[in-house]
Parts: sequence; C-alpha cells; structure tokens
Amino acid sequence: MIEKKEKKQKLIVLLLLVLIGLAAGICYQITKEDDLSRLARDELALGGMLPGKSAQEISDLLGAKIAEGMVDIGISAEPIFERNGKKGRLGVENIAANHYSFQVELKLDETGEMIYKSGLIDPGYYVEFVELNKTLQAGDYEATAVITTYSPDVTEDRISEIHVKILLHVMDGTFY
Amino acid sequence: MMKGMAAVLICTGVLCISAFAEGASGPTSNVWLDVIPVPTAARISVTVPLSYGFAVIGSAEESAGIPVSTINGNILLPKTVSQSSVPIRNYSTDVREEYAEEAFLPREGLPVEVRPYMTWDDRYSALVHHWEPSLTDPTWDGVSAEKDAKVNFKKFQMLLNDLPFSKKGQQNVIWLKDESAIALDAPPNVLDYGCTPAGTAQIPSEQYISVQVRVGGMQNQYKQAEQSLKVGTIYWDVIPGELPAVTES
Repeated sequence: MIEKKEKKQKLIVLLLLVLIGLAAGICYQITKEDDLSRLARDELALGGMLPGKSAQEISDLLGAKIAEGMVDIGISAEPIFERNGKKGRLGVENIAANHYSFQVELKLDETGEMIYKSGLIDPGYYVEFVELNKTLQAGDYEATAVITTYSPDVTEDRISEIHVKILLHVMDGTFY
Repeated sequence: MMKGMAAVLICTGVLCISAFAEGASGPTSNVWLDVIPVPTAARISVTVPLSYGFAVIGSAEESAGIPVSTINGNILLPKTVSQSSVPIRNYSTDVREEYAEEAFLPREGLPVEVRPYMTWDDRYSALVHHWEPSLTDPTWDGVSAEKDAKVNFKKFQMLLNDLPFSKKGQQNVIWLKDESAIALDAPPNVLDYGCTPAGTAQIPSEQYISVQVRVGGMQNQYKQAEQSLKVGTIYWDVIPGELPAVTES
C-alpha cells in the first residue's frame, strides 16, 4: 500500500516537472516572438545590400539618404515664461521640407531635470506656447533643448538628436 | 542675463482703474495691464546633416589584398552633394537691446557654433557584419599593419573637415578630435534680405564641410560579392553666439 502511494507521488512530481518544462518552453517562444515584433534586430541580417547594384546606383542611394537626413530646426534661444513657468513661447518649428518628426525636451543644465516634453511634431507643424511641468521661481535658467528626430512610418527608434543651448527667462507676471 | 528680458518685453506701465462711485452699490473694477510681450528676440535656426554613409566594394578574389580606401577606389561615398561635402546653414537672428522697444524689430544675423558627435553601441557588436567605429586614435588609418587587418575589418572612422571622430566622451559619445566645433557665420545682411514671420533669416549663411571616411581591413576581406553599405548618424550640439559689436564708422 505504502509502495503504491510512493509510486503515485513520484508520478505526480514527474508530471509537474514535465508541465514546468513545457510552460518554460512556451514562455520562451512567446518572449522570442514578442522581441521580434518589437523591432529587435535580426541576427542573421547581413550588412550591405543584395547584389546587382551599380556603383552609380549605390552612390545615388547614399546621396538620397544624406539628403533625407538634412534637417532644419528652429527654436527660441531665450524663451520667456509667465509666473512659475506656466506658459512660455518656445516657438519650436518643424518646417515642411524636413523628412523627420521632432520631439522636444527641455532640461535644466544645473540639475539635468526634464521640465518639458512635447509630443511628436510632424514636418509642417509648430508648437508656439508650452507649459513647464515644474514650478520655477522668477529668474534665468540655463537649459538645453533636446530635439529628437523620428521617422515614425519607418521605425520607432530615434534617428538622431540635436541639442540647443538656450536661456529660460521666468517672469513674475502673466502676459500671454 | 537681463538683456534677453529687456529685449523681449515692452513694459507699458501699470494702469489701475478703480471705479468708485460714492454711494454706488455696483462692483469695483480693477484692471491691470502688466506687460505686453513681443516675439522673442533671439531665434536659432540651423540646417545640419543627420546621416552619413559609405559603401565598400568587396572582392572574393585573393589577389585583391589591397587596403580599403578612396584612393584605391574601393570605397564609395555619396557624390550627389557637391563632391562628398555637405552644406550646413545658419538662419539664426537676434535683435539688439537698444531696438527692443521698436514696433518693427530690426533683426540681425546671429552666428552659431555647431559641434558634431557620433555614438556607438556595443550591444550589437556580436551581430553578423556589424560596423564599429575606430575609437580614440586620430591617426588610425585602418591598414597600419597587415597583422592588424583582421582586427580592423569592419571598423571605420568618419572625418569632417579633415578632423576625425576620435575623442571619446561620456555615455558612448565620440567627438571630433579635440572636441572641435564648426563656427557658422551670421546670415548676411538680414536687414535687407528680410526674415520669415518666425524671425529666421530669408538668406542663410552657408558652409560646406568635407566628409571623408577611413575603413579598416583589406578589400578581399569583404568577401561578399555585394558592396557593404554603412549608413550612420551624426548628432549635434548647437551653441548660439552673440551679435557682433557695433563699430563706429
């Protein structure tokens, strides 16, 4: 009777181990597929391009890539904010000739703290007034505008960044 | 520090109207006119390239044991933009403090400095045919010794205006040698050529910067029949300058 019970327990443990193994395998597969769906780089991808292109075609392709990457950024160098940083004219402009969308962050140079973050600004659009997400006392603050470029139709990865040194003036009144 | 503030605000004084009517029961009205903002004076606008690229013409032939270089004709650079140089443009403007209260702001061209850098990401170095920047050695030529050929394979170094990206910075940043910046002149004669409604110059100052690349290894190491293509990214710091001092004529 005891021997039979022990056998049964061993069988249950064995079954549990098999189930755990199966679950781990399924989890691994799901995670792997998730990684690929999240734009993970293909480990088998080769650098270069498929054969058959002439030197001129390659040169033209490179030229087109450089031309697409020419970006114009526009922003106020000394934006003025109302009391506590409630509203200020940052004047970010993404001209229609650009190929990339912008996202803009303002960071205080002294602390590195991010005090503003925009959404995506597509070519042909601008953001004139912004509101800081931190209360700032009246005064001047050295800051950096981090303009990150994206090509949202192609990839979620950023293309590049342009950092512009600016000076924030926070006033005591309200005037906009 | 206060220059910008003075330049962008026209103080119109404080007007307080208090309407008191003796014996009247209506509300008291206080109207405060504080300051009237005018468009922010200093405006930064630059056009810079964010991408660069090159291609190596590989060879499967053992006899093609020559260094990869533009002189040897086995590197292709984009030639559509004025012989491997790219333009950088500056449309930035500013207004002198003494003119800040004028109804029509007389804008002048503002010089700026731009400082390029690259980044590298060693997370992908194990991937097949990953390109890797050659770091920290400004004299690296990619072929200094034959025994190094294997080490140098798929390594590259970009140069702008003959300065290599070779100064290692923080957080995987590689600056130009000596962290060099490129000075861009102020846009010419903005008072005559005019500005956009946003305050940027209609006619920019323009400077063409040369782009070169050094690639490591020998041509026959790039055994793929196809050319190996590399397209990478340039990042930029933009530092506004100051209006030049007025000279008495």
